[in-house]
Amino acid sequence: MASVTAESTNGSDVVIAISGNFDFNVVQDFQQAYKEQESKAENFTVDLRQVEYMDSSALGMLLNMRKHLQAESKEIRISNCRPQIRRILEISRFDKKFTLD
Amino acid sequence: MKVLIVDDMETNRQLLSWMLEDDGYEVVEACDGQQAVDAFKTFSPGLIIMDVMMPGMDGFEATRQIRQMRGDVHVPIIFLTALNDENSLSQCIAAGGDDFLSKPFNEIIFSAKVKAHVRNRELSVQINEKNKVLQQYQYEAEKEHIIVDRVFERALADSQLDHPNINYFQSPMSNFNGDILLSAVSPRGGLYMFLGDFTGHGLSAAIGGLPISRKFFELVEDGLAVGDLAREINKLLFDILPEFMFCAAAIIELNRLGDTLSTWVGGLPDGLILDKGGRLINKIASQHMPLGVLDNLEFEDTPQVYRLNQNENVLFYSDGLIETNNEKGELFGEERLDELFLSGADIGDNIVEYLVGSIDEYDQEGLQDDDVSILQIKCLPMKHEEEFVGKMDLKFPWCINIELGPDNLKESGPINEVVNMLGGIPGISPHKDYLFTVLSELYINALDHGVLGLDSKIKDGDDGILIYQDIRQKKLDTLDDGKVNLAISLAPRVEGGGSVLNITLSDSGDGFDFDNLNSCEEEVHGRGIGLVNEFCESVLYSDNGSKIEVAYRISS
Repeated sequence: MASVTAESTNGSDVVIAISGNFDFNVVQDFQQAYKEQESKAENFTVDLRQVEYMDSSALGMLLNMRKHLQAESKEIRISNCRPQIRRILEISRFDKKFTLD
Repeated sequence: MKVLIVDDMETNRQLLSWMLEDDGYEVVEACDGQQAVDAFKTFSPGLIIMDVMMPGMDGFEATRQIRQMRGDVHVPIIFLTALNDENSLSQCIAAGGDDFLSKPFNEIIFSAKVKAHVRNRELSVQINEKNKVLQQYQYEAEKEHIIVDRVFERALADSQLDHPNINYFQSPMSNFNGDILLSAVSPRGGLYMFLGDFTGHGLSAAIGGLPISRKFFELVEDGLAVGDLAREINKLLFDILPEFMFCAAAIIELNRLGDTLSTWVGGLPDGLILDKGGRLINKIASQHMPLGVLDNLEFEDTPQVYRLNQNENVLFYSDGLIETNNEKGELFGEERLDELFLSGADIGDNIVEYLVGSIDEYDQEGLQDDDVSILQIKCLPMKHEEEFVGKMDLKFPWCINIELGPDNLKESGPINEVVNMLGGIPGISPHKDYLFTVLSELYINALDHGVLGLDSKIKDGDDGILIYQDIRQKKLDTLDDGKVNLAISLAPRVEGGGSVLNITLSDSGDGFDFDNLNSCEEEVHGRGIGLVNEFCESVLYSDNGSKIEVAYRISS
């Protein structure tokens, strides 16, 4: 089963980690994860280390997150993508909108 | 013990025999030099009493010949001679005799001399036996070392220490290294490294490296975080190592861009972060107990994460380095090591060579007390290897047909199941991520917009996606009509190389206006079909948009 966890390392850096499939099944959990942390967090990292597959609803969720946080100009970093996941992000030009590492 | 008596006078032989037999020795007699040599060969006596002047071969010559035949064990020869000038006596010794006694001799002195030489002989026999046992041990140990050496070589063969982002130095103090250095490329294109230092050195320390390397390569393939790696390896070591043995270690992951370093360090000396001129800018302190000390409940897996700039270097080493002694017995020490990088001078990129040079200079005698390992990690973006494509040739055509009715559509995850099935085919397995994305897009389109008749515009707006999800779920719960058909067929060895998967999806819905598909980059929805277009060679709608056929090429 897919799951979303949010952890704050020092208060201002929040890591949201998804495991399993990053698809519409985690919409609610994902939104909740960054909305709960946004008041205290400066930088967000979405850790895709444990993501097995993703589809376009994940892209939609990431864009929503960006829209939501952009107003407060908070940085979003997408980290630990496997090459396949990375390619999906690159095809959708996410490398221009997010920091991919 | 057998004693050989050599004398041409029968009375002398008789007299000596009696005396020796009284003392419990077994006696063999010879009456000239030639007989003595023959008797030596036949009876292998442990001691020889030798007359000098005999007809035929004399005692000197017989002694010389016997000495040449002698094996590993010492056979004392005592000359018994009527000559007592210095010259004759020194000739006795020169011929290979061990002692001499002038005739006529005192019985007590004779008996004492025999006893003393018998003792020598017995010691020599014992030493010889022990030597043989030792040689056997040595032979067996060498044989075992060769076998173990090969096991280690194979176990560590997967280590990618020739990676361009790594520079290292290892110097075991004996045949086997109690320090272990591993490295492997992560599934995300970054690099994992493991530097460990077991208690002690030699084979008993090195042995722990075997299970670690196994576990490390296995876990790395799953792309675990360093903290999780540490936890797993700790669990393994805690279970198998004896209590007094543990492993100080640094587990490191450098990301593909070479700008983020995650570490878990337990029990090793502090790691150093050096700027591009090799000047110390920060330290990575060990924050944990060594691996194999704490049980899983007490174990802490918190990692440390560092952001780094291009061309900076990170240095880790085992404590054998700072415990190097100079000729006065003073340790090199951490402070002296730090000072090497605090002079402000630009030492460039060859940090390992610089460090090894400095240590060699300090330890002139080159007496090593412990295993030494140094690992330099270069913070540079990694050369991304070409994506792995399946090498397995697909030879035969096949097809799968799946019809999903209302009850099936209510279940989540039919695409997962299909992709897992396809992923089991070796030639297709490297493509399963993309196939998931493609199939998932097609399926969700067919279900959401075809069968359920949902409009993506609902997704616009702040909580659009959640509202959409809500409506979708309600429609799905009450669904009692409609279906989605999925057909996948493989055309092997097509023109242009490789194979093609033809995927057809049709639904029971009313279709949609596929000519007016627009994929705007900033929209939250509508980018799925863009992905499908990107991954597939052809995309064809028919039946008013309720049927879609795509071709996905599996290149060889």
